[in-house]
Amino acid sequence: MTGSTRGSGDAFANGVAYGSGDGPVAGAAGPAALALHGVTVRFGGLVALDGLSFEVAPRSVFGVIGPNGAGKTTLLNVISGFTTPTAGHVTVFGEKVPAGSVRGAALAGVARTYQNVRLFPGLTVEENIVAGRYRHRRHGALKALLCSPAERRERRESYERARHLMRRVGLDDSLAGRRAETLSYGDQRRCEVARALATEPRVLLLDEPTAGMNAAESRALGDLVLKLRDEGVTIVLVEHNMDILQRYCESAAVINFGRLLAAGPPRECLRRDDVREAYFGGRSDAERVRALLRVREDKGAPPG
Amino acid sequence: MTLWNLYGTTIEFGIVAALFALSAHVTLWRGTLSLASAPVAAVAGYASVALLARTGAPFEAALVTGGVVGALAGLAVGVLLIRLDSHWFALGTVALVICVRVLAVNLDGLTGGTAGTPVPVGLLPWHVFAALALACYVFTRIRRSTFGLAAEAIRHDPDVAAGLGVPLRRHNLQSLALAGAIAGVAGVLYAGISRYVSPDTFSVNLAFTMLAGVVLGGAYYWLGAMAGGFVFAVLPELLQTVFPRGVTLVNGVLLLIVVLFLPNGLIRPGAARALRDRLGAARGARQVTGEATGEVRP
Repeated sequence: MTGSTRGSGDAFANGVAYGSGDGPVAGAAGPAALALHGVTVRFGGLVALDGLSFEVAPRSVFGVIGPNGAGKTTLLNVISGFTTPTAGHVTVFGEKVPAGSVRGAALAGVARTYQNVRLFPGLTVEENIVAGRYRHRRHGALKALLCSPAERRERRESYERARHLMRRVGLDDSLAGRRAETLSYGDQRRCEVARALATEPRVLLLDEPTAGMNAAESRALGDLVLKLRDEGVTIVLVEHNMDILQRYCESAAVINFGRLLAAGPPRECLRRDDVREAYFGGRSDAERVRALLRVREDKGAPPG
Repeated sequence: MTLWNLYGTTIEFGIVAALFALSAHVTLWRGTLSLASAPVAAVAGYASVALLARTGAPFEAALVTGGVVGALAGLAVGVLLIRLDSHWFALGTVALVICVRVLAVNLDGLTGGTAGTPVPVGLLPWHVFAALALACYVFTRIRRSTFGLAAEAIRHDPDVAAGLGVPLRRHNLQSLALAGAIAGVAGVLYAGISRYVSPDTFSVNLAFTMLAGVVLGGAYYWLGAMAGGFVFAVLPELLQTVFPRGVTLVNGVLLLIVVLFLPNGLIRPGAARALRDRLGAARGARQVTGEATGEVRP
């Protein structure tokens, strides 16, 4: 592991274990829900992720933060099989996820949402969520052709489950028949979360899920995340909203230039000078602003 | 003289064209452009004619054989071209159209070569209507099945569909087998109506005509594709009396108008619902703007 290599005596103490070298520190209580083993991603000369290793404990909410371009989305892409790592691998509950296989990651129990919403625009909200049930449906086209009662029952149950998930993420029932592309941005995000939940994931990756939501809506989503955790889902949250991050994540990893800068409880991570500098800009800039404000106050100008 | 005597054959050809267009639609439904229906129909057509000529089987047996051979041929096309993506796959199927034609010309013993081979048993109108009814039944049932939703999902975003556990390659093979079965039945019907099969029966011309029909009717909705195929086959026959020399031109202009002004084709599913959704969204936006500006609504 590169970057910060704070050793952890008790693995999973805060929902995360940190390691160095090729692999993370072994967890004491069974396999980690998610583990990255020396993951490196290079795009030509650009190193997007540089030997990243960490573990996420089962039934925890784990935050990933970092400035724009730090490699957060690339990290989620590697975990979900969208990007093939140049080196290293990912395990989910101890099972190695086939590198670069999106379906392989899905079959391992990984589901995700996207930074830029990727719903199926021509399908209705309900159909988008039912599409998430694909893996769990047992009756295919042949049974549909034969008008099998089992297929019809299963289809009905899928749609009922979709309605239930809609209510769970805060989507009104009246939106069920609306085409996904006509929803507001916030509702599209909720629909995407519902679709991911329809896959019954073991590890749920949420890429900036509260973007486009107000504070109350963001907190409602955060409460849902906690409920999902209590039901046994492990959640990895990429989020710029520090309030959400500190309120709902038990632990977090800070990434900068593809390297692990810090890891641990979010509040502790955010207190670190190197994290603040990476996230909020150079210290010299902040000092320059403060100095400017002091000068303006001295001259009698209103501050701000 | 009854109307059927006048237009019966034209309607039969129209229905067969609709089935060919439906076959092309099956793969387009999941976002794959394929012209494989023409060579698959050729294989099924020749196989069925051989069955009729050598065993004296009834035409119904030829139809079933056409469907089965077509499905297998479609599957073979899939296995052969499975590694090709997007336009490369389409080009691969164009190559197959040419290859099968060359084979049909040169395998004299099986196909009759350039002279072609006659179809010994004629079809009855109910054969065509039964095939049409069966196709409509199949698509009504599978449109919202797991297979249908997966097809829609793959067309919109194959990566996200795979992320939901949809097996892309297996679905591609299933689509090509289904498209092959429909093309096979359509090929046998086409041969039966023409009472004759030659290398030119299932040529590049047929492949592009069925594609034009799909574009005309609507590529992503089975009923649209069928309607487009039917109109594109029947219209020239009906216009023959009005524009004896300009039928092809009229067809071309019609296609151009549709492509320019109705890019989703003549029939679009949920068009009314989409309009209602847009109006609903616009009304919602107006209300939000009104609340923001303090506008009081009565």
